[in-house]
Formats: sequence, structure tokens, C-alpha cells
Amino acid sequence: MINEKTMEHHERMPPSYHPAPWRRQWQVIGLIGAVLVFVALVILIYMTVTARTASVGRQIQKMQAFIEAADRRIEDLRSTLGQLYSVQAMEKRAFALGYQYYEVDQAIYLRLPGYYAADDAILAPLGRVEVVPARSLPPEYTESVITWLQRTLTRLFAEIWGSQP
Amino acid sequence: MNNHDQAQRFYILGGALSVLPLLVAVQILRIQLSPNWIKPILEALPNWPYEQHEVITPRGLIYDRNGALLAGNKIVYEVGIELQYDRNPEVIAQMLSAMLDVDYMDVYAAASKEYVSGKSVYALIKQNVPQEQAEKLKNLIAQMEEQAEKSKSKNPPRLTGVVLYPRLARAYPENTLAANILGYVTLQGQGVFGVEEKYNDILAGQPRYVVDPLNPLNVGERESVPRGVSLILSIDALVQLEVERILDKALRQSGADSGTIVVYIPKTGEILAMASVPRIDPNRYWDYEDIIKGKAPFNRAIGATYEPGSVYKPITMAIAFEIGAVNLETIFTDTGVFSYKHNTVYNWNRGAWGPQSMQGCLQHSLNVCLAWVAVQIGNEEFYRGMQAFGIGRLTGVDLAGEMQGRLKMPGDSDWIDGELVLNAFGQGVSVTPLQIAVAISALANDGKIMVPHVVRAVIGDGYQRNIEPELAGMPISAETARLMSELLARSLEKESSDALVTGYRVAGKTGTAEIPTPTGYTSNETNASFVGWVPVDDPQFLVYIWLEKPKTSPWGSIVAAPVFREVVEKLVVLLNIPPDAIRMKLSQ
Repeated sequence: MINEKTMEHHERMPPSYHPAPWRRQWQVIGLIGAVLVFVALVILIYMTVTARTASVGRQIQKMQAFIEAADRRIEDLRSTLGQLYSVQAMEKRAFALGYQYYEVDQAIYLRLPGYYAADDAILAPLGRVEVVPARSLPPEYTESVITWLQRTLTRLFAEIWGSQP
Repeated sequence: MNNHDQAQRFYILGGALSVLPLLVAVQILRIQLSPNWIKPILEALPNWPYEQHEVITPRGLIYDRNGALLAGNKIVYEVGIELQYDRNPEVIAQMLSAMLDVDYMDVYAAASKEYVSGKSVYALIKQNVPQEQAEKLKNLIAQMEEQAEKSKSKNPPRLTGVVLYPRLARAYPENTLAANILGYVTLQGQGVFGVEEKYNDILAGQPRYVVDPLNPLNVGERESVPRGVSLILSIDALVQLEVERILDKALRQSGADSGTIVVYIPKTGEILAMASVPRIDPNRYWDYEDIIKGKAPFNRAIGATYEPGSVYKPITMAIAFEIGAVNLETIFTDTGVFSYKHNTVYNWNRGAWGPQSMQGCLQHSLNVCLAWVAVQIGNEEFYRGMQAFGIGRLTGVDLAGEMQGRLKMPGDSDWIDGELVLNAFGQGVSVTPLQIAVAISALANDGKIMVPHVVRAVIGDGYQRNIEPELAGMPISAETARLMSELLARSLEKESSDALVTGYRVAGKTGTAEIPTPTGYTSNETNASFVGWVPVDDPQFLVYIWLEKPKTSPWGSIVAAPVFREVVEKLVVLLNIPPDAIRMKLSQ
């Protein structure tokens, strides 16, 4: 029978064997290796992500430059088109095609059912639909603690006493 | 290790891990409670690896009322030298001076500048270089670079350091057309004169500063910067072209120094055309001083003031009818001279015209009669009426550079009692052509004067907002206006005026005004003018013509009235206005 005292003594006994030294060394080497692999993995992932981010960043910068150049080109082409359609250019073209201005006494006026004279230029949708901006976030997310406190207290006071403090 | 030890270690780990969120919470509270704390960080932002630069958005476009482009933008280049490169000043100066037409020594000096980091990094050579020229230069740079690479020479000629930056500059596809209305834009983007100056702020848009990170890792979506607002003018490019041609022809034929034609829509206050001579090509605004000499106004229609003469008489007569000082039965006996206080008035031919009705007074353009009418009106009503017609006041037209003119009022230091007898027929008072056109438009628009304007719509944020006509005042009743219109139409018909147009009933008045000088009025030089509108029963447009110092004849009835007819004949065709008889028939 092992009594309680013997049991306690047994628990406090140091182990009667040690792992072999080479095993310990391998364990340490393995641990360090694992740490190194982990660090290398982290570095690899970090560098991959960073490189890809930088590459995308450069692409964005290039695209921004491209957009700016395209905007300039659009403006330039619009003016070129304006030049081609200018009243003087159109008049020259009309004359070249054999057209000529008619004089006041040459005009013949007829009533054409269903004909409406062309309206003046409408180059964009008329007016503007006023959209009331909807808050995507409640004010609590965008205001400071003091503003929130002030607002809440004001509301509370108003609810309790029917007026502001 | 017993349970107690294990628990203790967990507590320590838990405590250590709690410190971090606690610190975060403290920091959040700190920022919340004291927002000023963040200021130093924001102030330090520019020093971080970011680049702040001004975004120049394309300037808003300008269209005519039918959508024809009057002002757009084109690509031009700025040529400069980046000083951090190892340069060859001789080669750069030689090539750039030859290609860009710039001074050799100036380029050489710029190319020889020493690079000082942050201070001297760039030298400007030329702005506003056209695309074709820039392309040639780019090709040359590439070609020389290629040859230099192949060359075995130690220092081969190359244009290292020369850079070209694209920019947008204003372009006017119609060249000189409506130049006096549009104005121009400098290379620095500042609108000068006309619409460009008046609406510079909205055309150019708000300048925005954008912060671009230099580190590509931090690059994100750039804030979009809206372009300048575009404008649709009330001008009709085709009408403007024809009116400018007619004016140029009139100046050649009459030998006048300069001139102006305003085509105005009385019902809306819209300016349909406004021609003025001289005019520049806004694409080459730097020629301004060669074309518009001295202090001459850019747009004479709003910037030149002069004594209008007889075209002013309908205003005097309208006031008289309005207040009941005269009526259709009133007869004035013209003795050829009228003296009142310090002034004596004679007729244009120094003749006496005998008994005349008010229509006769207008028909024969009798100064003596109008002087008498002004006296019947009296100082108080006369000047109040003139002010109601907008004389001596800005019309409020949306063009930069409008002059006010001058109407001397009782109480002014230089006003002389009895001056109204001169003012009655347009002497002693100065106006701009637009002012007189707008004032007279009350007669063609049932007594109402609208605010004159050239912008009829604004396009911004993807929407077009049309500008509604605005009432400026109503100096006379509709009845008086119609009466005056009728009197003026009959006057032209009885005179068989050169202003009459076959098939269309017109109302109008000629004007011949002597020009005041420091020594009195000149007798050999005049301002010849004509104002009229058509058709009388439903005026679609009003035309005002002013020819300055015509040589062939001094009289408005001879040099200006035929110009009015020519303008009307052209406009009724362009605007599809049928002759009165056909119009009446079609409307039935």
C-alpha cells in the first residue's frame, strides 16, 4: 500500500533519465529552423503583397496619367470638331456643294402639318433632380464624444422638461 | 507546475494582452476629447512623401444658341529644361531657337543655369507651343538621342534635359466671329473682356489641390475634380456672321471709322448678335494692341459712350405721351428756333417747318419740336422718365467692360438749368449703343424693358439650367408703347425711308449726332445711327446701328438706314420670319 506521504515523495522525485544530448540539439535546431521558416514565410508574404501593391500603385499612377492625357485629347478633338462644323466652314462646304443663300424675295412659306422648328440647343438634361443626401452612418459614428454628449443631453432635457437647458 | 502557477501565468498574459486595446481606447478618447491634438500631424503632412499639385480642369465650353462651339480647349505644350540633367547648352540653344523661334541667347542662358536642389530646377523656354511644332521637337529629341547612342564620340550632340509638358489652352473655332462678345483667355487661364471675364470664375472652375503620394504603395483613387461650367449663349453664330459681314461692308462703303450693330430680342432681353469693329482673333490675343489702338474699347457696343442724337427722340416723345404732356391732337408750330433759359435749339436743316403734329415732329426729326416737348414734360418728369428708361445707368448685361454713360441730373455740379431741351434730342447725354437699344426696346415690348443678357443657359454637374428672362422695368404703359411704335412705323413709311423692307412693316428712327469736342460740336463729323424693330405688330428683334464718323454722308438716314434694311432682309430669312401678309394668313 502506498500511503499519501509516499505518494507525495514520489511526485517530488526528479526524473531518473535525460534525453540524449543529440536529441536536444536536434530539438533546438528544429525549433530555430521552424522559427526561421516562419519568419521567412512572413517576409515572403509581406514582400509579395508589398510588391504587388506597389505594382498596382504604379498602374494606377499610369492610368491617372492616361486619363489626364485622354481628357486633354477629348478637349482637343472637341475643338477640332467645332472647327469643322464652324459656320464659316459649313458655309464653304455648302457653297462647294452648289448651295446658295436665298434672298428675302425668293422665300416661299408653306404650312407643313406636323413640322416643328428646331428648338434651341439642349446640350444636357434640363434642370436638376434634387436628391436629399441620405446619411449612411448615424451621427454617433462621425461626431466627437463632446458633441454626442451635448446632443444627447439636449435631447434628454428637451424630452424631460420640454425645452433646452 | 501546479494549477496555481498556470492560472497566474494566464493572468499575466491576459493582463499584458489587455494593455494594447486599453492604450488604443485611451488614444481614441484622447483624440475625441481634444481634436486639436491631431493638428500637428495634419500640418506635418506636406513633409511626408506626398506631392501636392494644383489640378487645372478643362475650362468650360461656350456654345451659341444652336449648340455651335464658340470656345473650346486645345492641347499646347510648354517647353522647358530640367536642370538636374547633364546638358549641352550650345546644342539646346541652337536647336530650340531654330525650332521655336526664340532668342538663341535667352535659351543659352536658361540651359546654362546651375541646378540648385529645391531652388533652381527648371527653366521655362516657351509656352503655348502648338501640337505640330511640339511633335517635331519630340521627334528631333528622340532622333538625336538615338544617334547619340550609336555615336562613338565622347560628347555627341543631344537635347538631354529638354522637356515638353502638355497643357490645355483656349481655342476659338470660329476665329474672329463674336470675338468682342467672347473676350479671350490668357495663357495663365484668366478670362479678359466679354463672357470669358464676366464668367471667369465658373468657366475656370474652382482650382483644387490634389495630394498624390510619391510612394506607389500609398496610391489610391484620386478625388475627381469637376470641370468648369459650360455656357450656352443667346448669340446665333450664323446671324452674328452675317451681321459682322454687313457691318464690315457698311464701314467700307461709308468710310466710317468704326461701327456697331446690336440685334436684340425685346421680349426676352436676349442679344442675338452684337458686332463691333475693330475685333481681334482671340486665338491670337497678343495682337490686341496692333488691332485695337490706344484706349479704344474692346466691344464698342457696351464700352463706347457717345451722344446718340435723334434716335433718342422716341424716348422723349414716349415720356411726353405717357404723362399726358402731349397727345395725338397736339400741334406745334415750328419757327425753326427755340430758346429756353441758356439754350437755343435749331433744326437739323436750320429750317422752320410750320405747324406739326407729334408724328410730324418724329417724321421730320425736328429738334425744335422735341425741345418744346421736353419743356412741356418739365425737369422732374423728364429726368425721372430718362432714368426709368435706364439712361445713365448700367444695363446689367452679363459682359465685362460695360460703361455707364452719363445723364446729367438737376443738382449735379455740371448740370445747367434748361439742359433738358438739348437732352430731348440726344445731345448733352452720353450712352452706349446697347443702352440705347435696351431703352428703345420698351417701345417694341409693350413698355417693358428686360435685362439684356448673352448667356441663356448654364451647364454644370451634367444638367442644363436655362436662364429665365428678367424684367428690368416698365417706364411706359403698353398703350404708349404701341402708339409710339405705330407713329414711328408711319413716319418711316411717309418718308419712304431706306430702312423699309418689302413685305415687313418696320418701326424705327434715324439719328445723326454732331460730335462734341472741347471747343463745341463739330459740324463735319457725325455719329450716324438707326434703331428699328420688325414686325411692328409682333416685334421679333430690334436692330441698332451706329456708324462712327461716316465719310460718304453724315446723315443716319443715308448711311445707317440702308444697313438696317440689309440686316432685316438677312435676318428674316435666317430666322424664318415670313412676310406680314403670309404670317397673318398662316396664323388664321
